[in-house]
Amino acid sequence: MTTAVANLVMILLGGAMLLTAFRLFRGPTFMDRVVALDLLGTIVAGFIAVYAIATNQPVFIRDAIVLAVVSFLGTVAFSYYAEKGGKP
Amino acid sequence: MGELITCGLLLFGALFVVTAAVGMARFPDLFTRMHAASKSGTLGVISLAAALGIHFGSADIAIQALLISLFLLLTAPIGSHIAARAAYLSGIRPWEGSVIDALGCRLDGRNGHAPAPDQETAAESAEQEPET
Repeated sequence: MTTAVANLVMILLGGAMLLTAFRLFRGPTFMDRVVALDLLGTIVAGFIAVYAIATNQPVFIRDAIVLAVVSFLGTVAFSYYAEKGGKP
Repeated sequence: MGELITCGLLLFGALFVVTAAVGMARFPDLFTRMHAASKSGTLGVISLAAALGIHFGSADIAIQALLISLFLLLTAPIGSHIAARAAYLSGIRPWEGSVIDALGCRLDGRNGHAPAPDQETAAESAEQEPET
């Protein structure tokens, strides 16, 4: 039962990733893309957690931790350069 | 029993993450989109991590799931604060339907920041730049 629910949740998260990627490609300004990339990193961290449940394989959980941290660092760096100047 | 809790947390988290993604695709404005992403997405992924910790049931993996939740709780408010401030200072203004613009009231005419540029004045300054 848990495996079936985890597979369904992985499909739902895939749909959420598609919606976020739509905003990532479409976003009218640079900061829209930055925020969409941040949400995409967060969703992928959750996807890794659900994948670990679906396959009973707890190896990939550290990837989720690293991805959460690196996604935050990317947001901070992009925001720093967007605030310093250049075209938004 | 643990299986039921795991399934419930998985579905709860998926509901919140999908809500965040729909808000990201549908909302009219950068700041409202950021509102959807930072709150709803974080709660959804924390719920998924809790399901992970309950499913495996060992302290090792539970601590790692707790670390995921801790990093998300630490970084989501800071990241969205920095992104919203950078967006506002780089010239993005809230949607016309917004009720209040608190940062604009604080920044206008202070700290060397210019007031919110109108479309016309921005166009004029763009025209004047090549002459000077």
